[in-house]
Amino acid sequence: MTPPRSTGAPAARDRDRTRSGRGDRRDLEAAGFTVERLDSLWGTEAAASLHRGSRVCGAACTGVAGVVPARHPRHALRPRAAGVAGTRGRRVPVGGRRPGRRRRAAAERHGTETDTDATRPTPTTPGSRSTPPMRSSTPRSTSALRVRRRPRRRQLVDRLGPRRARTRHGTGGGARARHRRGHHHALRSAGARPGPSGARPRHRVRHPGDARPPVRRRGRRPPTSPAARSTSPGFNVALNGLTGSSSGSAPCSNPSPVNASTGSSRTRRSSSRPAAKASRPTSTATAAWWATPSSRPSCAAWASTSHRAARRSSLGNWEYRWGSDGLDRVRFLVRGLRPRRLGGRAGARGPARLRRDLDPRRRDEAPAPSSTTWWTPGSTTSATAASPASASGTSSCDGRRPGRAAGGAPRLRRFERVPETLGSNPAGLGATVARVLDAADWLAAHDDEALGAAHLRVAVTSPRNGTTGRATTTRP
Amino acid sequence: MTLVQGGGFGRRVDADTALAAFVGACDGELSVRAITGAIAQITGVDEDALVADLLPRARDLVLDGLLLPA
Repeated sequence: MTPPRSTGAPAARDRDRTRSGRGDRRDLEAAGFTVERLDSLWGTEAAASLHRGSRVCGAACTGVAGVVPARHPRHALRPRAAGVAGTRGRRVPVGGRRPGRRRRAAAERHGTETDTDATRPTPTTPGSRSTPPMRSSTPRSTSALRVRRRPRRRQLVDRLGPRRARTRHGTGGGARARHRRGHHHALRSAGARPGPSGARPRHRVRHPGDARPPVRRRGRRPPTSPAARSTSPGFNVALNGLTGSSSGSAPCSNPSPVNASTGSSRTRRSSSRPAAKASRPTSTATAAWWATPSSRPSCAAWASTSHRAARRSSLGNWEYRWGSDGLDRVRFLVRGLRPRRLGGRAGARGPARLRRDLDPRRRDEAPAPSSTTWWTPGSTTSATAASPASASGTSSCDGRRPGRAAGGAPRLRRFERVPETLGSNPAGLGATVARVLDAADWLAAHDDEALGAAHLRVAVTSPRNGTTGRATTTRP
Repeated sequence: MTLVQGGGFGRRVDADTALAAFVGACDGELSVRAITGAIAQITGVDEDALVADLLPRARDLVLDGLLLPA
């Protein structure tokens, strides 16, 4: 089937296209959609933050095959110093090995040296020696390919604090860090590369806890060994400035004394790299356990001693994949829990016991028939609950064990998604949970007839504001 | 209309006309049955149907802490 041909001549098509473009431009100008107007709307600060007026390396935009920009686009977006743009904006072919003297002479004989378009691989002349297509075409352009081979001292940060170590790659970011194989040195001075797999060290460093000597690297190969990523959690956390991490050894702002990383085995393996976890587009499910003394006879008695329980609270975080329901995972974990361990004794024995209790490998264990674990919705004042990521959906549930309730079966179990953060609440949610449990007891004692005869009042503790239409702040 | 809980878990409950009227009338003086009867009379709906609709939601409000026993 023959595709339809254009009836107009090329010149006529170009003319029409030009006219159409002018018409579009006039329409945009008539609508006030001009650069000046946008700049005036944005303001100078916004324009500066958007890097308006800054030139971007041409190769970075065009993406010519076989060509890599001399600077990473992210680097090119930064304002450059005067006099440097000509050198750092140079486009460099891949495989920029400086050609030998005989090849340069051959190229000059066949005229390929005069090809000024350095962005394309130089075609070879028939009869001449075949030149690798990914080689540099101009000897002068290879001047930008030089990589500092002298080992440089780089600032490294791990859980022992900042220190220095020698690395084979003396790169600090920028055009000078361009590798001849096109590997982008995206690392900054601290040595972290943000990416889908999280921060990882650019170079293999010798960890204080690593007894093995660092492997000497031949040439300048990119670090593809998984061993290069094995760093301490504090290393990654310090690099990424993370707070509220769930790692036990990571410096986090979580006030909870217990950090129980739970979840699947995969999560457990990655729990030593909290920075990598945090960089993935995943949500976080939070579960908090109030480990109450098992001697408390009822929830009412527990409510009066909620401050004791709050002191013994523990926190567990885990993550789930994007698109999956985290509540199902929480239900699955709760179903596999053994309330005997979740109670006060588990909290008293520390995070190791909690982690073991929440180990999904033990989820097949049947729960005790006399389950008295109560699960109520909510969250705590942990850093995870207050993080911006939780605004997209944080699954939270609080569990407590109010003692051996009559009947043995849990009477309240709610799993729900908290749609937004709860904000800062220094007092915690222990009193709120206690009130919810009291209300559950009251409702359990009142059937529909009794409820119909009951008198209810709205839980408003503050009087209405004098202004009509303003929302009343209630704090039940 | 949305009922917003200012404390605790910050519950948000979507309320229709009947539920909003019910919550607005819960000041501790009238019983639940009296309030539902008055709302049914004003809105012109069946009282039993209204009670069957409101009581479960009233239980949820009590459980969430938006309503308290007087």
